[in-house]
Amino acid sequence: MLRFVLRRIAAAIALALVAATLVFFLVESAPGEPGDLLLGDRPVPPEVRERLERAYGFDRPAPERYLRWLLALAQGQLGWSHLRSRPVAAAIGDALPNTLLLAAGALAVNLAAGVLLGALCAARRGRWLDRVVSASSLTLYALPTFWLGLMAVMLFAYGLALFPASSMRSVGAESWGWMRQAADGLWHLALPAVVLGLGSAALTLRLVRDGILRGLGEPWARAARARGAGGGRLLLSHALRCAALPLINLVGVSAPLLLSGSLVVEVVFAWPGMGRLAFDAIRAQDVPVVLATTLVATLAVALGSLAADLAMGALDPRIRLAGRPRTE
Amino acid sequence: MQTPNLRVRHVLSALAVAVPIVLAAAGCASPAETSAPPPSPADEPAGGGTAVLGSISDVDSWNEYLSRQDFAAKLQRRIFLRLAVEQGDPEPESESFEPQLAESWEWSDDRLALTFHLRQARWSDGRPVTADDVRFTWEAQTDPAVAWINASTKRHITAVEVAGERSARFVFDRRYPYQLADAVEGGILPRHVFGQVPFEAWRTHDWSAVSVGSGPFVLERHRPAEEIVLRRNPHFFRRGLPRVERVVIRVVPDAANLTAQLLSGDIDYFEGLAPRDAERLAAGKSVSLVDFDYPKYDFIGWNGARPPFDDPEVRRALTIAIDREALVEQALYGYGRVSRGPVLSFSWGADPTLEPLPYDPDEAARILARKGFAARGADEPASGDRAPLRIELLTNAGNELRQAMAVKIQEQLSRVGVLVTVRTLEMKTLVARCTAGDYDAYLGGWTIPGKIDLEPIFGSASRPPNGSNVVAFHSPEVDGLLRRLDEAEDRAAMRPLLQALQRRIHEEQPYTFLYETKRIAALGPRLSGMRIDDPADPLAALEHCRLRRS
Repeated sequence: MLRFVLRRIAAAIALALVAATLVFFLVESAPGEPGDLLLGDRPVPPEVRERLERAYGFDRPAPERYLRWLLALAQGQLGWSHLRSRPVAAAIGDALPNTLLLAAGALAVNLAAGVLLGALCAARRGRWLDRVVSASSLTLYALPTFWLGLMAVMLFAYGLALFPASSMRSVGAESWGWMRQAADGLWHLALPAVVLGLGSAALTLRLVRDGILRGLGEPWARAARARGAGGGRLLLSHALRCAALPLINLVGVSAPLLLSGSLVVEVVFAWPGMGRLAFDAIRAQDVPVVLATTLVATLAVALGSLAADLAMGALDPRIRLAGRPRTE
Repeated sequence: MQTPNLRVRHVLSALAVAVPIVLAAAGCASPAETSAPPPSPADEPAGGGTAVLGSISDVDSWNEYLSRQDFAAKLQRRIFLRLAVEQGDPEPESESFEPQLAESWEWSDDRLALTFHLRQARWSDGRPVTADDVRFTWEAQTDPAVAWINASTKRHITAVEVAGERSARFVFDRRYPYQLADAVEGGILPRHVFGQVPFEAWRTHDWSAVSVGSGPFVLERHRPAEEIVLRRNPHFFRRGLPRVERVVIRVVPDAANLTAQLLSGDIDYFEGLAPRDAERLAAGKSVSLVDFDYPKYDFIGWNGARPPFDDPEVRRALTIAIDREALVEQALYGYGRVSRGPVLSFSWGADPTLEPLPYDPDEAARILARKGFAARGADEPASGDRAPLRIELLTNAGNELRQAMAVKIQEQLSRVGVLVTVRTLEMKTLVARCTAGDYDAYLGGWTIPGKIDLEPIFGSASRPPNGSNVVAFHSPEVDGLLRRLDEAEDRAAMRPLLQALQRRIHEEQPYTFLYETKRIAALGPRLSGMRIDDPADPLAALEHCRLRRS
């Protein structure tokens, strides 16, 4: 098991490096010079531009800049962000927890809504409730997140004034007690988490519903009914477990994707997370940040998948034993 | 191992605890308390409180000499004062400066030395502002490792001497009209803070930890991409100012969201409102609008190295085929004016006798027909045996205003038979194509803060990569005028040269000068005392603002 985990981690690191290398040379292959975006629409003498390019290292050839970045990475350094004038590691350190918080909130909404509604749909299979909930969730899934977010802001933030329109906390929240700060944080998290989580809840709902229905058709379900298990207990305590494995797999794959998929929500709600950091860096050609966010996103996908595999192995002995040589 | 029933009970118990907490929290964090700024009790004095500003941009650096952003510069001017500030006097022969850190100054007889006498000001940590800080600042401004964007403003200053604890002497290598403006350009930095870091390490140092300043505010906290908090500087030399205790700048990348927050009272000030949103807000009563001149103009740049755009007559025809007044009315909703030329109309050096070329599509068609193109006008019916003039008009993606303008220009030029293809490109790609001369025409803009300097845009020697003359404009007469302009010793000598330059460029039309936009600021009902006297520094009056009692 340990060897398996170490092998997967090593593969994840290698994958992240390959992805970052690809991204570096893709960015470099774009037309123009690295320093073209430094000065905007200000006409300046050429020596000013040359000095700036020298200061940021843009006067060096691309392969040299890549090798320098690689060397710094080997020493544990991610470089300097010229957009934020801070170490890239600090910029990531600021943004990553915010995105993890948003992703966790979205995942909670996704799972809560998906599991509850999936179980409900399975219990009311074929009836109007099943049909209405399924259709509504698919509609939500199909709607662009950007539009959903804007509509949520217009309706719930400005129309009904129930939630704030942006940011992670209220003005002056630092001076409050921790409980009030936590409550304020949850209040600001609510709308973006719902927007981000609800769209993908349709997939979760579908998985849970189908998993439960599949379970209810198994011989052991008939045996449980025969032993006196009622509808609710049969559904939640027995059949729901059948949906657990594909659900864990889905969470393992989608959780890291939430990191990158949160970009749109972060822009709409001014949430200072990784998505915004990467977006701003790409626009400003802040290459060290672009590479670092690529590394983080790739590692998140690979490690999320590993975590899902391990969780599935822990839950299902059949998966754990698969691949081991049979003993006579 | 727990039985399933107990597990379910534990889950339900947890929910029974969590749900009321969340509901209570939602009740505590109610819109009335937290979406609006902190309420002022009826008996609170008019000063104090927290003003909330909205901004699309964040600050890239808290070191003025490393920053490349206009918004960052506006905030840095609240923290680090200059020796004096130009008042934007439109009179051609005079200029007025308001003393800041310097309370007076005097020229040497030969006007090659300028001595500033500092007032008794203190940094926010209590240490005095001294002439040594002034000298240190000049060293930083001119150091190649710092690579300050505006370092060229100091090119004629050969030394800054400490003539006394509060006297700093600037030495120039020649007399020229901008001596005082150049000397006071840039905020004064404290040597005892910024001098701790060698200049070579400035660009990789995190300056957000510096909370020392001489201005009305100092930086309290910066959460990148989220908010900036400035607090009152207790040692600011103007007693009783600033009136507000704190200024919070909320960074929200979506303009529509900021506008909505302004309307709901979550923010008190937002600058950079889109003209169409200004139209909508102007009808309401809760928000007041202030528009002011902005040092920027938009244009169409014609590729002077590519026929037929190398022909001044063709360029003039294209200019007069575009109804620029209509562009200002329809796309800018009147928040702007037609540009006359390369010198901003509100600048002291603008030629008031120079009028924009008139809108005359018939004459444009006649000129184009004379040049052999199929043109369409009142007396020039479309001709089948000639080819129309085809133009690929480039502009940068992400700028809604320019994209809308490009479409209107396309439609206007089609009326005279010119076929325009509008292509929006990512900024870097656009810059690359324009720099390489691979374009017909592009819709862009210049931001011209500060001095009138036409050489980088119109000088023959300033073609890329040596400058910004991307339209390949070449005129020996203009080059000669630019040389004489650089040698002029005062504004009186500059003025006729500037007028001659503007007239020559006006005749040649290397650019079709489209419009100067006005910048629009929106003020919420809480903020009073905010006025914008200096377009280059719209937040200058922030120290005088106060919050109205609720």
